[in-house]
Amino acid sequence: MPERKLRLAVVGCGAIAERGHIPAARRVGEVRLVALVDSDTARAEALARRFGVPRVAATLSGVAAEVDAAILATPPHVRPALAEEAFREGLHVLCEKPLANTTTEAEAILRAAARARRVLAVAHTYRFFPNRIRLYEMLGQGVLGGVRRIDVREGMPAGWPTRSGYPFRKEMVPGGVLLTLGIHSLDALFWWFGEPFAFQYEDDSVGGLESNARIRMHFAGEVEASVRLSRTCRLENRMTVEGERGALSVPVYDQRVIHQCLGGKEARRVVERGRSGLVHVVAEQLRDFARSITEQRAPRATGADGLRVVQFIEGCYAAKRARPLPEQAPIAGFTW
Amino acid sequence: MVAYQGRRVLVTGGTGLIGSRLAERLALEGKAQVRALVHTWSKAAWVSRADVQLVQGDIRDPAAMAEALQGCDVVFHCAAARGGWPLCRATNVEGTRTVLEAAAKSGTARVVHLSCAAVHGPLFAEGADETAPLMRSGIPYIDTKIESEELVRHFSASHGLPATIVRPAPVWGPCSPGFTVMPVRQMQLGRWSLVDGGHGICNAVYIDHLVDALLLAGEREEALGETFLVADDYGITWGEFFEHYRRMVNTGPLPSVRSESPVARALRRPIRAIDWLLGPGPRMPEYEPAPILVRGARSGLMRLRARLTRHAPFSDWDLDLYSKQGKLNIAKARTLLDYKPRLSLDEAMRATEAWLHDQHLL
Repeated sequence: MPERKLRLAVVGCGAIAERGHIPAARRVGEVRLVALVDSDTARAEALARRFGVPRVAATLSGVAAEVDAAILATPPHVRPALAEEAFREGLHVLCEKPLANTTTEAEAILRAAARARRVLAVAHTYRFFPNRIRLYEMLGQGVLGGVRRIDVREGMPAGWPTRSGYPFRKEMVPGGVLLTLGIHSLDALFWWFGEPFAFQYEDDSVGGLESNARIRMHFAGEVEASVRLSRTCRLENRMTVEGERGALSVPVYDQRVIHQCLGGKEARRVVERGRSGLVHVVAEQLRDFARSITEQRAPRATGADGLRVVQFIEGCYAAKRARPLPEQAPIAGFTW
Repeated sequence: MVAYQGRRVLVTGGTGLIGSRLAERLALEGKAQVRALVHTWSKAAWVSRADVQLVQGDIRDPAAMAEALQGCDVVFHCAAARGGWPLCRATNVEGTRTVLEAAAKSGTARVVHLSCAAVHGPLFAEGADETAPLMRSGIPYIDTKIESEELVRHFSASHGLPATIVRPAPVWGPCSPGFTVMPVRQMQLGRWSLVDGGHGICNAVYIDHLVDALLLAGEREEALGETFLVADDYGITWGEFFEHYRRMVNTGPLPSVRSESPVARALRRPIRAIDWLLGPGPRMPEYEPAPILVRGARSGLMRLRARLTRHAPFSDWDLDLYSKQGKLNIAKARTLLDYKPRLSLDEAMRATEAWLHDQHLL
């Protein structure tokens, strides 16, 4: 008898669904994408035709009885209610990042998952990049000796073809580049080093959402981290970890390459050959989600991981709010 | 800026160089309730930093404009398109008509229309002021700006619409793609030249000076029904202007091309054809959805363009702009608007340099 596939609905038919989740679902043997959900049903129908998805609905309740799991790919402000509904219907949930806009909402989602005894995974995709995984392993093997410094520079002029515009709309999200882009790098740092015990944060918002941000963090063991994020300019796009014996670094937007400088020798290593790209990592993420359900284990990025990074970001914004706005508009891009 | 406190203001083209800085300063310094019209969300990274209500809409859509204008006292019409005739006509002429109709219907909104000094052509006379003739140049952006001005004057005359036209010189400073980022990058690549030894008169305006003028144009009674040229009025040459960028980039003396060079002029046509094929705007390379053949063709065209522009880095318009001897007369803005460029050239350049450093462009 063939093994039963996980029946899946993608909720929210924006850019990440179109370019990531829907094509990825076709690559994962463990799942069958049976429904697309979007309040804009014309958009959902167009994608359903293009990708051969049998069902379309305006609301999750319209298809909940026919699926086992839902990917929540909507803007974050509507996700708490959707997650609550999905868990009430007994579905497992893979939630786009950020898990929620606030700690309170994220905690409510975790409670709903626990009550329903269903899997909650969060789309922190960097955890599926082969070079991030290899770097984590190398850190675990003590290749660098004691870690001293971490430097993250991630920036690109915004170009993601968002349909809702949510990353720029303060009625939909409480933060800008940190919450919608930097969250990936922060999650990776917390995965590698745990949570920092102290931080300083500054950004360039003047009453709206930040597009440039800087964070200095202090992790246990005298490890200092510097994170610079931008959605207005191209930065080096590199995550570097320096230790007693050298340095390891990964390009932010490359999944396979790791640069190492150990014992004075520099090398560029390709840690995985073959497929890469957005659809590939999203497919890996979906495979992990499906297997966490069948194998009854935690997914690679859990709800608790999602909550932790949302909590930290909320702390950053609170620290910024405590400072008064300047009276004159500063030069664009400047953080304080 | 007291004039704007608590007032509702609409900025069309809210994600552009001028619109986004204007919206930000209206919100932060003017304490206005600012609504900015967004055409493409991914361009909203600058304006979204401010306490501004962002609404998606197209200036060609009457219903969207009527809604966006609801309750607004002032409209700064900064939206415009560059490109071919159909796009420029639809956006700069028909779009402006829609904005003006909506403002006229609202009965409460005054309009500040952003035009450009280029409507006087590239070779205006020394001391040209707002009364200088408007010159069609065959460039869609500029010619449709002339048409849009005619519409504003028509609506003022026939509908009694309170309106002001502002004609800025080329805009430079933080975020300026054409007169800051591009020349700096070209200098870094060793591809920037002066025209005729840099002796042409620099008629340009620093972004915050232009925003000062727009804010004055939106509040002063004397501005209604008037047109204003706006420039820095530093009385310098382009050679002196670009010398500041050269120092920032720390490169050697800039070479010079002759404005009458036949080679440069002959290469214009193929470069324009390539620009048309490439279309506007770079994209994020990693998540680039274009198929491999399209990407290959695009990169081939870009390489070809780079080779051609090495020999002809300027358009005909640029050659005229950078070699021209005439200086714009901004006496009217100084007198009626009380406009004065408040930063010295050194101060404005220092701010620009700091921004270029911050944005990793230096």
